[in-house]
Amino acid sequence: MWILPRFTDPDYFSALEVAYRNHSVFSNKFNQKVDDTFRKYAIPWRVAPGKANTGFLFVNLSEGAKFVNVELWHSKGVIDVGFYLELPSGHFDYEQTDLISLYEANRLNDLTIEQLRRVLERLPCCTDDRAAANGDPANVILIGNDDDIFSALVRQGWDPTHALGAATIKKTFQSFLLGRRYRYSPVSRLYFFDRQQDVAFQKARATVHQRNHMRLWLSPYTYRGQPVWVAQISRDIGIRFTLRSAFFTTHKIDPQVDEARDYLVQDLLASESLEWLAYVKGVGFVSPEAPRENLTGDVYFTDGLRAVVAISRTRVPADEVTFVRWESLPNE
Amino acid sequence: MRAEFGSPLRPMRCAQIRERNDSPLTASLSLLRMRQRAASWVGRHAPLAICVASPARVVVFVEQLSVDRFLLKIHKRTSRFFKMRQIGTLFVLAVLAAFDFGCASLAPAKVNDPSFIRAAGTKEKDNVLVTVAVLTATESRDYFGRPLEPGVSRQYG
Repeated sequence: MWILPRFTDPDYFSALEVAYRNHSVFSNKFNQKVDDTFRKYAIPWRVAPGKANTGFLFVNLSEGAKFVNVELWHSKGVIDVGFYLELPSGHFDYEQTDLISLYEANRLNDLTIEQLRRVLERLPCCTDDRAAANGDPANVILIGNDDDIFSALVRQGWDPTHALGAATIKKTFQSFLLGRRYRYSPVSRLYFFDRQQDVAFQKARATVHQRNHMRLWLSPYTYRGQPVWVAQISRDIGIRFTLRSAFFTTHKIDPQVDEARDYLVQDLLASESLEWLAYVKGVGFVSPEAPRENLTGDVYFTDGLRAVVAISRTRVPADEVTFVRWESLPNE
Repeated sequence: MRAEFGSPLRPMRCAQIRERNDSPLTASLSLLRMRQRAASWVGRHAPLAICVASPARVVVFVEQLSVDRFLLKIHKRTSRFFKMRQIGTLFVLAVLAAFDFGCASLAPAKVNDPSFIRAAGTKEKDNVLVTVAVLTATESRDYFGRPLEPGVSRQYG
């Protein structure tokens, strides 16, 4: 049986590559020691029958959370095992939210499918800033355990976000000025259920100005025992000047907010973690000709639907995903 | 603004350096004079570039002038300038070597129960047991005795 590191990280590092990064300029003897040490650390790829292999695989660094896919190839096929592991450092927003004690167990309301639909349609349309102003639309509902949801997102390249703090604000500001990438850049606070987001995820591009980002709030509802989450997703496409921000600049969002919503659906399909999908009313139709404004003055328009996605613990191929026809999308 | 390669500066500078085959310092002196002219020219015509098209590179170029002036002063005071410079170079190399040897230590931790093992996950599939643990930047530095991702652990650790 063979371990296939390329399936864990296509850009993994060989042991001698890592050793070379630690070489001394002057001492060949030391360099030989480094080479020997890292070769000894590396896990052997071939696993003999009945034996256990132990060692390191050197992959690209992730902070906050990592999905580790292990694929083993043998004469009768492939064994693949996935692990979602959180890497707490004290800097991520998910570490600062106590999801377990957010609602007492007896206060959670387990819903039937029809009740779920009615409840979701009656939720407030949008996030706010506590002054009752309408912010970005709450356009996604996720159903599933936090580990399963976070795992599905991380598997598709989403990263958790740093909590707002002096160090992370400084790094955001540097990235903002220099147009650098900041995978874990904090997101601003928006409110739903009278509290700021419980956790946020983002999928960053080459610069901090461009990213898909999603805020999530745990709701007081469950469906078949699975927690129901309300989420707001939008795509940052650049920066613009504004008087509504302390820094006089803000991210500009893609006005067609449904695009980011449906991008998430595609990501969940790709991660084979989507059990069923539905669309439900609740946001309210907004036409491109008469767009709404969010809290920072960005305009947006929408078909008014929320995507409802149920996350599976086991893998579901795309052709086995159930589409529940609550509402039809405009082009259907 | 476009760089003016047709200005007299570039051909003059490059030709003069080629003409002089004597000591590097003499070449350096003529280069210095050229650069002084260039500097005054830059002062008048900024942000036009000299030999390079980027104004940012010009800034670096002008900063180098002050170093040359400093070296020139030393040369006038003592003819043993080259010897001093060689000794200085050797000294710097010796310091660097000492620094490199001092830092070049690979001391993996001798720990039987590293912290990352406690957060490991284990799964079984088709009679195969797989255990996985992921090290943070700080944990890898502590375990390997070297920061495998320089900068990350210092920034947030």
